Amino acid sequence: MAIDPDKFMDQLVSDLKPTPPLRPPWIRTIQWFSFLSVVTALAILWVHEYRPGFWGQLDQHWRFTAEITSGALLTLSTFYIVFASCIPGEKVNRGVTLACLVSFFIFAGLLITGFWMPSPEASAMGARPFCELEVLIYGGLSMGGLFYLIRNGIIVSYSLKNLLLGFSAGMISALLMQLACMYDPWHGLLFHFVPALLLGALGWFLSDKIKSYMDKKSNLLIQPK
Amino acid sequence: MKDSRDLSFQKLDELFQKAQQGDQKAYGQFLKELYPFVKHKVQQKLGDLIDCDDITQECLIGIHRSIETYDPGKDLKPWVLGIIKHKIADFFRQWERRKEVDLENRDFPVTKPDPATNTKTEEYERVWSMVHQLPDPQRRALILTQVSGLSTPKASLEEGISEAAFRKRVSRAYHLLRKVLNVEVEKIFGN
Repeated sequence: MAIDPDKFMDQLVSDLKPTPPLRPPWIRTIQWFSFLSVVTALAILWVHEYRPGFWGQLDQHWRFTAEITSGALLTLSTFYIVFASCIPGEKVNRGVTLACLVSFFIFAGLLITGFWMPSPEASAMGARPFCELEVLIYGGLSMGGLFYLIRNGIIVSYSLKNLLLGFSAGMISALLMQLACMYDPWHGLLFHFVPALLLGALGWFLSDKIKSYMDKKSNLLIQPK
Repeated sequence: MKDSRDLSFQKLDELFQKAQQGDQKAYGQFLKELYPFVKHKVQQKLGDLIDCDDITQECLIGIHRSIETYDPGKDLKPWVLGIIKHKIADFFRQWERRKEVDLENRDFPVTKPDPATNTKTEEYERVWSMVHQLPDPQRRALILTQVSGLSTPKASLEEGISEAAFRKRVSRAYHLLRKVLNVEVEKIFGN
């Protein structure tokens, strides 16, 4: 049932408060990526120190550096896609979508190549007892924060956005864990990146729940004639 | 209100930027100018499937809530159209869900062997008598959302309270209704 239009508009007007516009998606992307990276890096350090000599490995092994860099680019671009798609009528930049795909293939390619030719050499130095749990916890908390951040966003395709959101939140802690925990491509895949993928799946699973909760909250009861 | 075809988005853009700074007069004018445009778009998409004023008002609530996401440096029209598209998609999604629920609820078995106790009129009367036992604010909240079919944002506007307070009121109404129902059940079956 609709309210009288004039009365309805008067009520909206009386509810108006000054609201400065949000910063552009790319600024929000950099802000939140940096913030979550620093917080996660500090949390990892607080639990246990980083793998000895990981700076040197980044300097000496270009494939390892490329793996971390392409992973970070993949995460940054997915953050941007999520933030941009929460703005009504905003078209996600094709360049960013392309960068996201390219960085994904480079990252996956380097990870797979590492199974046969690990660079640096696989070793158990710096192994952390519960690295997969750490990835899930830090990534899960970041995902919760991001969900809160985009709660008022106008999103049409919930499933894809929430999958990307969960995955990118998990990728931050997975990439940092590659630096903090032992280096072994198989260990990296199973204990660092699979949890990030699991968070993506969780985001996808939660998307429907969140949407129905929001529907229930808004209680839109419009009946066809 | 003007005809939707006369709409100048350049003017609306200026009004909306003032509204973002809290100018209520500009916002009122913006809404008055925009209302017929939104309604026209909704009518184009939904025809006479529903009461278009309802979805139009949902769209305006969407605009009201998303004010912060509008970038003054960009065109207003795609932003408004994006919200309309979202609200129409929302309507279809909920419609589909409701159809599924309706199918699930069909052919419910009777709760008592005596058909006389299952007549709709009697059930309605019983429910209404329970609703009327609720305090006035809770009763109004329940009637606005469940009988008049207003969404929570609209009903809270109608009541002149915040959405959170309104939701709390509805939740309290359900809680009280459950209590009343328990008393009724005890009266019938004894305990």
